[in-house]
This record gives sequence, structure tokens and C-alpha cells, in this order.
Amino acid sequence: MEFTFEFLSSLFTASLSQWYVIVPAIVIGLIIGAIPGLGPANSLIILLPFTLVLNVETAMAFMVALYCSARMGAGIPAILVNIPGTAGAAATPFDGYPMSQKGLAQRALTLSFVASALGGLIASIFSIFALPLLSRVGYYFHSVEMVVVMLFGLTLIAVVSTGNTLKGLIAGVFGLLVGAIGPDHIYSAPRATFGFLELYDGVPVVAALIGVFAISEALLMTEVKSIVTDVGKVHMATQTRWAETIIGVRMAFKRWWHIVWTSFIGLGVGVVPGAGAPIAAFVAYQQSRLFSKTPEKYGTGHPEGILAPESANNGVTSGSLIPLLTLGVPGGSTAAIMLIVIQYHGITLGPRIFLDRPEFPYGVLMAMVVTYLFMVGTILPLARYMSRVTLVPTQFLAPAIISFTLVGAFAPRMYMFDMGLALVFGVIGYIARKTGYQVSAILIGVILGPYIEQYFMRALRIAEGNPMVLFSSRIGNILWVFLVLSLVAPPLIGWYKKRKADHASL
Amino acid sequence: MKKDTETQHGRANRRGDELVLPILSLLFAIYYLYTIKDLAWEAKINGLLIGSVLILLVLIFLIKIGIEVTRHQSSLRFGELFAWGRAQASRIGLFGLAVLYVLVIPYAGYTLTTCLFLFLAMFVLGVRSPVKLIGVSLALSLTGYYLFIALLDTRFPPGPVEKLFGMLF
Repeated sequence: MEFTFEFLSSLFTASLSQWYVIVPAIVIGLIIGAIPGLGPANSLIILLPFTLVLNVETAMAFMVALYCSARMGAGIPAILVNIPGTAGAAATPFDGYPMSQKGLAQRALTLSFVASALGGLIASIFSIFALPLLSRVGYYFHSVEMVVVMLFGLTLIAVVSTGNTLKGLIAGVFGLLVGAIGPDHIYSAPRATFGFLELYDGVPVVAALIGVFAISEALLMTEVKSIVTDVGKVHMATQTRWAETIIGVRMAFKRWWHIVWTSFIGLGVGVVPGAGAPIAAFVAYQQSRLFSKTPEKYGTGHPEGILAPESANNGVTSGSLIPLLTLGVPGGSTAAIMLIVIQYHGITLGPRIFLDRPEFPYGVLMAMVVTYLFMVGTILPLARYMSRVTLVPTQFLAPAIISFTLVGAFAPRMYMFDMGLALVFGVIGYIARKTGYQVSAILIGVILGPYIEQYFMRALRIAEGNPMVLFSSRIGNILWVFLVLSLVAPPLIGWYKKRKADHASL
Repeated sequence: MKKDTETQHGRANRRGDELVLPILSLLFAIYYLYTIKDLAWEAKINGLLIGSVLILLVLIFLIKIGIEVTRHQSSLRFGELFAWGRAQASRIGLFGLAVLYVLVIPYAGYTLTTCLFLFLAMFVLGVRSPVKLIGVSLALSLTGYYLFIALLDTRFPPGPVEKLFGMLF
């Protein structure tokens, strides 16, 4: 295969010609991404008959566009009402919601859209050029490394999400144990199911997401008449016009380098199967804060606190397709549905596809590039109107959130039980929010719980039960060091800064 | 002495609320460990490790709070979480309605139950205008029907409204 300018331009033109499926897919993706519980995987299953009748290139363009736009859409409710559409946007409310409360929702949305589009664009362009190289990353991550990666991610979340590491860790490990409800991976013996048959498959992640974020937020809303503060309302009434969108675009472009490097974090995490957008977003947020000149501003409505997680979770989209395109191994549920469609059309993915039909894997990534270009034009003008949601009185907003998001809890498994479970998680989330425990840490624990067990058990079986296997890999050991550092460094840095300040004041 | 501590440090140092989640976590960890006690080691090792770490973290937290209390830096009294007020009453009312909503959907269907839930929930939260109560409830429940049932094919148990629409369209 010759990787020439002509080859790339022909792919680009071919992807542009798919606009008639890409634009509707962007609209559908933004809507389903913005409704907690209705992720791209569910929607693609519903639309499977449609994708099967299209030719494979068009079907892939449609699915990729829906996947990318759903990722961007998940940030919208995270910013406007403190409820991420998917777990990948769980770090976005940290700074997005405080901006909304200040009456800067339009600016926050613009920052999120530009970061998502640019982050996704950069990662997909890089993936086109580095596809063979990136496909090798997955080889270096085996069960042991995956256990440490996930523990590292959880630790970061615990450290990042609260000022109190101990409370963050309690929330995260509590989530892990909740995620370990259900069958074990060897004998399928049910554990801690409280006698409910519906928990024999484990805790449904969507019900947990909706409970800890949406229901708890709706319960908290009863304390205020409006999301926006009085000062914020004045700001919105006097200043919010198209100018806020332009300011947001300028702010984002001024921090272009920030978007670039956090998108690479997303790409790197996305290539590793199983790690996913939540870890990428939190790692990016933590790194962004670590290298920031104004770390104290994070959590108060800092632009970089929106740019980092949104750029990273969109960087994940191209990364997560790389194992699928190069090895035929889906890295997640959405990629698995794509694999079904690809196989239905008689295409076998794997190393040979680069010899037999190179335009297919590169074409998928090019469709992603075109999607992100289209997305900017489609969604940026909407930021002004979307931001008005924050002005809806909570008397209307809270009941609407409960009734609409509980549907999301029901949709994936069609169990009424899951709606009740979301309410239980809602109470847990409410208690956590009121008492300073970060709900993101609980949710990420619930998500990672089954994965950690799966990789942990696999590693133990390979090592015939020897737990020292967890320290047997070089990459794993490096990650262990980072894990310990991430726990020890923040209090040490805090102590050092305090000491320095004390000396300066003397 | 307790009163002195309260006046000295105010409501901000009431730590009772913060103990609720750790205590719940502790109880859950004990329950989890109880349910896995007779399983094969492969089925319980993961839970055993995570449960033990959770218990350890909670104990460290309890000791930390205990030290603060003995030094009179904080108290174990509850703060905002259980404080009674108008917002708390609205919250309990809203949550009660949400529970009823989940219980009634299997019998009355999504659209009708959502309409009733929205009407009552908005009333509980202080909306008194009949036009807003009826208009918003109807508009949102019909939007929900169109989006979730007609477009996205979410298979809720059908109620009278779904059956009627099914016959009409």
C-alpha cells in the first residue's frame, strides 16, 4: 500500500460524500449522548437494521459519526445540570457546572465543543498516520498491567475529585465493592445480591450513573430556585449573546496546546482495551491541574478544567477503534456492534486488511476526521440556545430530570428493577454529595470493579495463584510507582507549599 | 463540654453527616464478606481484598474523626443532612413520588404515569399555576412518549395511552 497524498485526499473526498448519513448521525448522537443512559451502543443496536442495508463504508461513517457525537453530547448535561450523559464525561462537571452557576453556560459549552472537536480531530489525524505503531500498544498491556492501570485510574479519581484523599478513596473502593456484586468470573457464584435475581448479572452501570448523578442532583435542586446564581442571571441577561460563543472559541484556541496534549492522553488510554473514556478524562484533568500555574482555580469554573477532560474523552474515540481496525478485537460495546456490521458485510479485520483493503481502516478514521469537522459547524451555534436550560426554574427541572433519566435506567436491560435501583443509588449519591464524598469516584469504582476482577483473576490463574505476579512486569511496576506517587505526592506538595508560605510570612 | 465545643467551632465541625457513607460502606463490606465466606477461593479473593481495604480505610477515617472529637475540634452531631426544613420536606415529597412513579408504571404505562408524576412533583415543589402544571406535564410526557417509545422503541409495559396511540397510529 502506498501512503500518498492522493490516497489520503481520495479518502477525504469519499468521506465528505457521506455527509448525508454523517449529519443526521451527528444530530442523533448529540441527543442520545445528552440523555443519561442512552449511550451510542444502545442506539446502534436499535439502528442495526438500518446499518445493515447500507454499504459497509456508509454504515461505518454513520456509526462512527454517531459514536463521536454521542461522546460530545455527554458533556452538555454535565455542564448545564451537573449530570454527565455518560461516564466518560464524569470529570466535565467539576469546572463546567460552576461556570453554569456563574451564568457562563454558553461559554462553558463552547469550550467543551471546541475541545471535543479539536481533541477528536487531532487524535484521529494522528491515528491515520500512526495506525501500525498504535496497534502495537495493546500488545504491551496484559492482565497485570491492566489491573494496575485501573487501580491507578481509580486512585487518580480519588485524589482529583476531592480535597480529601481518604474520603475519595473510601468512595472509590466502596464503588469497587459495589461493582463486584454479582457472579464471579470463574464459577459464576452470585455474591452480595441481597437476594435479587436482577443482580445476578452484576450491578447495571447505567442505573448507577443515573442514580448517583441525575437523581441525587434532582434531590439537591430542591434547595435552590435556579441553577444560576443571582449574579449569573444578571450576567446572562446583560452579556450573553453570540459574543459569549466567540469568547469561548478564543479562550479554547488560546489554550490550543492544552487541547493537543490532553487529546494524546485520550488517544493513548483509548488504545488500551478496557481502560476507556472515564479514565482518560480523569487522567487528563489531573495532569492538567498538576502542570497548571493556577491549580487552585480548578473546581471553581476554570476553562482548562473543561478543555482537558473533553479533549481527552474525544481522543479516546479514535484510540478505541484501533484494536478493532488492526486486530479485529473490539475495545468496547460500541466497537463490538461495529464489528457485527463489518462481519455481516463479509470483511475480515486483522493485519491482512492493510494489504487487501487498506482504504477500509483508513477510511473509517477519515470518516471520523470529517465528522469532527462537521460537528463544529453543527453544534457551535447551538451553545447560545442550549445555555438557556440553566434558567429553567428547578421546580420544573428536577421532576423532568427524574422522569427522563429513569427511562435511561430502564432502557438497557428493560427491567423495572433498574429504575428502583437508580433511586437507591440516588440516595447514596445524595448522601455523598451532601457530605463531601465525590460521586464520580463511586461511579468509576462501579464501572471498574468487574474489569479489575476479570484481569486480576486472569493474572492469578496464569501465575498459578501467586499474587506476586502483580509485580512481575516492568510496565506494571512503573505504573505501581506512579500509583504510589499519585497518592503520596499531593499531601507532600501541600505540606511543602504550606511550609514555604509560612517561611515567607515570617 | 459538648456545648462548649459546639459554640467554639460552630456547625461547620459537626462530623456526624460525614460518617453516614463510611458506616453504610462498612455494613455493606461486612455483608459482602459474609456472602462469600463459603465460596471457592477464586470466587472470593477479589471481594476479600477490596472489602478488607474498604474496612481498613473506614477504620482509619473513624479513628481520625475520633481523635478530632477527643481533642474537641469537632463533634459527632448531625448537620444539614438530617436538618428539617422546607427544602427537606420538598425533597422527601419528590423522592416519595419518584418511588411511586416506579411502582405505578407497570400498571398505568409510561406516558400516563409520567404525566401524573410531573404534575404532582411540580405541585410539591411549589408550582401553583394550573396552566403550567397541566401544560408542562402534558408536553413533557408526550415528548417522552414520542422520543422514548415511538422513536427509540423503549419497551415499557403499555398503559391506556400507549394502547390508544397504538390503535390510532
